[in-house]
Amino acid sequence: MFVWTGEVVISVILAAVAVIFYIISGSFTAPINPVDIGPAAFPRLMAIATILLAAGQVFLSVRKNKAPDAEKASFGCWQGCLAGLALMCVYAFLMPRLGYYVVTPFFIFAVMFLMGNRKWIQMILVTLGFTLFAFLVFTKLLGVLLP
Amino acid sequence: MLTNLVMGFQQILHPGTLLALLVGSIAGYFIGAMPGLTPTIGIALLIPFTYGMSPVPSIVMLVSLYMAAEYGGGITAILVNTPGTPAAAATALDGYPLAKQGKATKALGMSIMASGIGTFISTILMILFALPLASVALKFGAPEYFALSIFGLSVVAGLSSDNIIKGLLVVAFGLLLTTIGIDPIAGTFRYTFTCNLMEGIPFTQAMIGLFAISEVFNMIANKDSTYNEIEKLEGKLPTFGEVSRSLFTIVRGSVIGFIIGMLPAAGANVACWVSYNEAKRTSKNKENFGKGELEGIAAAESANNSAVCGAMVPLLTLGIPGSSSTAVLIGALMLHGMQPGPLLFDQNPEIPFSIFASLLIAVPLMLAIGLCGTRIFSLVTLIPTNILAAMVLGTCILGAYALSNSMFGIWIAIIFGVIGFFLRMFKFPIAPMVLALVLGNMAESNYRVAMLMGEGNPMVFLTRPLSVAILILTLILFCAPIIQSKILSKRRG
Repeated sequence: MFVWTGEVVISVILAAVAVIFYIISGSFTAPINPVDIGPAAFPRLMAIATILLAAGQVFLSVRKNKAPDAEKASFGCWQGCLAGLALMCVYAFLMPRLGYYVVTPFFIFAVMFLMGNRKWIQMILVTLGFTLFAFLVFTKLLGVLLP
Repeated sequence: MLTNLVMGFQQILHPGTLLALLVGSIAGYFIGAMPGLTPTIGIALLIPFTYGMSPVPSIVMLVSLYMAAEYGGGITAILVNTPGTPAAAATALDGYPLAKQGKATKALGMSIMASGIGTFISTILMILFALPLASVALKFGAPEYFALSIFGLSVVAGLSSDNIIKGLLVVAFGLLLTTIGIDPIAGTFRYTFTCNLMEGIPFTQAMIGLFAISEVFNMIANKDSTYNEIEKLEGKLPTFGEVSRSLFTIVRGSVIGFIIGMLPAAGANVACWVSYNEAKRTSKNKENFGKGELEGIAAAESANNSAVCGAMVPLLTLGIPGSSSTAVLIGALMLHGMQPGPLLFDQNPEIPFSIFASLLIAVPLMLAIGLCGTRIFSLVTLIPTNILAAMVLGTCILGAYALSNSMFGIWIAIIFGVIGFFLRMFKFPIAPMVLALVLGNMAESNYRVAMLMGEGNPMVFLTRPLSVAILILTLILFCAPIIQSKILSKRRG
């Protein structure tokens, strides 16, 4: 995939979100004070700015396509990124249900495993160390109530 | 004034007070370095410990925590691209690339020196000009704050000089996101699909995602390449020549940080970006900015530390907090039976002058702790990437939760982490989005209040001298990088 393609995709996504914001702003209550521009004005202005700038970026990116040495995007290990994202989502989902101190050790261990670490003792020590750090600093010292 | 200052030093040079200064500084470093812990939280947590203390040591401890926390935020910004405080976001732009080149010690060293010099300069400014400048700060109304927010946003031109359209697009989208929440004037719910969004997108969690979590995704994506490897760690602090070359930048950043810090609700978050942009605009090495330029670190750190002193000017002279941290400090002062404001200098002069003296004494103390710690802190860069990624992710998620005691903060950090990862992959700058998230609410609410003040007439922005001055400066600073790059490309062509 070329960088310019990604630029186009991102610009289109941002513009699409802006369009949604613009449409929803139609439901905002009109201001009581006629002098006030109202709650919809700023979101609409920013939505229009986003759409116009996105269009400009798409134009510039497509023009870059004509250059023979268009830069390629490097995704690296995209499967790893997806797995990392899935791990974070599962962690965030399970944390309030099972508790921070139950889920976190598995999460820390899993991230290191995902990154290619296979030194089990090292991974276990790091996991225990981080969990202890979180307990001592956040729960005991700072009194933060974790799930 | 000199007599009072000497009295202030006498109050400070007492073992108990010096110990309080040391404890506050060390606590501040730690709190500042931890994403999710802000100076405001640190001050609030430490206030109960001051119940049994006399006023001077307790206020000195809290102020030194506040100051050290602003430096502490730069430590993790440099080492792991995770700004510990929002004001350290600009530090990460050049600090992290330097750390990846194995020069973390140099980056940390420059950060602490700029912070120390910035603190010293702004303390002198505070001692000399606190009272007269406070009255100027009071003249800032909604039109001036709107002009200031536009001034802050003009920095985007400097942050995205490679492609101004990308920078503006990211800013516009960021400003659009700041409209989520309850409308500040009419109280209308805007895009509040869930009750968690009523206060809008939580800025710190979004910043944690944009910087730190996106960087973890980068680490995962590049785990099989040499992206994460540091061949050699250089344990050298910045040389005298490097510091002296950045001295003008540090002095300018200190003045910028002090002035902007004085304005309530503006503060270190804005000051660091304005100072960074100015340094980039006037530097002979502007191409190096964003790739590991020491001047960039110097500019950001001097400004964010000076803004602390700036924020204390309206607090001490007028009883108006210049930042959320100083708002909590008001509570600490009142706890000890003092009312901040003009009478503080008459009735309890030992308090403000002790603060001035403690800040002056804190400079060498901060430098000593910071410089001794740089080589130890920089060893973090040698930690294997898989362990670092797990630690950073665990800390970020913990911090994102701790800020709001809600899972929502974690989801915001993850979502912005994904956004930041894709923006970075396709070379969209993320710094303008951070800027937009900082300034969006300030821009909109002050624009609307100003229009109400002017009864719908936009001339309200042009009939007030301060507002006009800021807007003209904004126009010049916005156009300057664009004009400069056009001139340079014509010369090359």
